[in-house]
Amino acid sequence: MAEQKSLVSKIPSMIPGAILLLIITIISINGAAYIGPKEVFGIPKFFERVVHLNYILWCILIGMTIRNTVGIPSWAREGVNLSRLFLKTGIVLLGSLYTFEILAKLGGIAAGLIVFFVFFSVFMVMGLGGLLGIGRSMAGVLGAACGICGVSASIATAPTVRAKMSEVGYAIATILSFGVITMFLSPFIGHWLGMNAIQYGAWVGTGILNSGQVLAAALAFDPVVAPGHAVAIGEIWNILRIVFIPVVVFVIAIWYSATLTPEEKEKVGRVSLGTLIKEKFPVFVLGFLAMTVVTSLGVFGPAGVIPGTKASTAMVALRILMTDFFAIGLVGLGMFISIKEISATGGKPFYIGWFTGFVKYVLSLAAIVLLSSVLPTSY
Amino acid sequence: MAEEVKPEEAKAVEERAMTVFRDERQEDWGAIILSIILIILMLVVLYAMGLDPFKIGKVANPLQFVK
Repeated sequence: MAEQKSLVSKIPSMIPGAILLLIITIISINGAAYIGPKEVFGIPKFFERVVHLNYILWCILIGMTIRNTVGIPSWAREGVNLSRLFLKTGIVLLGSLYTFEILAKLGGIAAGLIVFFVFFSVFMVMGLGGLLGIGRSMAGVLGAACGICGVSASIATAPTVRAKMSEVGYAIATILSFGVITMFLSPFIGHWLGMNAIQYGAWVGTGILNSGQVLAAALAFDPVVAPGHAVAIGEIWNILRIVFIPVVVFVIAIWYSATLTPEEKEKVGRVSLGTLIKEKFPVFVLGFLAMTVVTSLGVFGPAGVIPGTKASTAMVALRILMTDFFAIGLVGLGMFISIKEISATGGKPFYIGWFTGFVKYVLSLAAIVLLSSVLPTSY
Repeated sequence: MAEEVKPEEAKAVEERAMTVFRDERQEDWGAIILSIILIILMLVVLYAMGLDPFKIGKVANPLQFVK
């Protein structure tokens, strides 16, 4: 209760930063709409078609520029810290882009890829960590970060492998730095290879390590938040991956405890999968599923989920809300990318994380290209 | 965490975690509650604009002025 009060008492200090995020978002959306159609070097819509500079990239780049020049002003810090809340809120609302039929259609393919790549990355980090002797705590949090989603998974895994906060911070910095490259590179590769929304969404949802960066890469490829577009596909993959957090924490805990003495095991305590699911399951996924139920039942009128069908005013308004919330959240994501911090990271865990991330990124691309005949072209 | 955590380390991770919430679970519930509030507000605003939210129609992005 005391902590709830402290959260409520923080609200006034969150407002200035939230307004800053909103102003940057308005500049980005309108800047992109103004500059996007311009002709440069005789090429119409140069920024949209050649540079792929849409409002999402504007949001991230302006956020990054502020962070790496003047820094996040202290008066804006608390508000900027709302970024993840805004991204998660957008993902909850994103549930309105699907029906259960669509989730079942794409979920089966997604589950196979996700299970393989999640555990492939976790075991690769553990193996390389053992070979290079980086310590099991570090390997545990880095494995979770590379397998699922850097921030949430490494924090969730830390207590079970008795990781220090510095190791968690290191794992997060490693995968976020790798993600910055993939976030900007992926849209170009996707367009260059002529990938459709499903192929691209499946690839970034599997190959990019951080949830926020999956979202950014999907929207940078195709900024439309609507059924059948890259963000709708990428997030199915991403959410399936996040759901695996308790399972991965369980596997890592078993691996970690295998080397402990009976006394040490007693100190760490017994870990059961049931307890981990209860404690670590990302409950915002339930909100996402509730939105899918509401959409499937047609509570807000015609959902317009099948391409070519029209949506109700409420559904259209919901998609605008999601677009704006993602944009605001991604300005914040940009503000947390510090080039100085990234360049200061180094050492064996950093190279293991980057190598694993790179292998996962390339192999998942290869898998999607190979599976392109199996993947549907639309839903 | 079983090992000693220095305050500056904890602060650095907290900053990287980009959140004002106590933990992931609280943030997740925050997102669900905010979504419900947003949906209610959206319906109220649409009705106030004289639109039927449940019929096929269109609305513009209030943050976009340049068309």
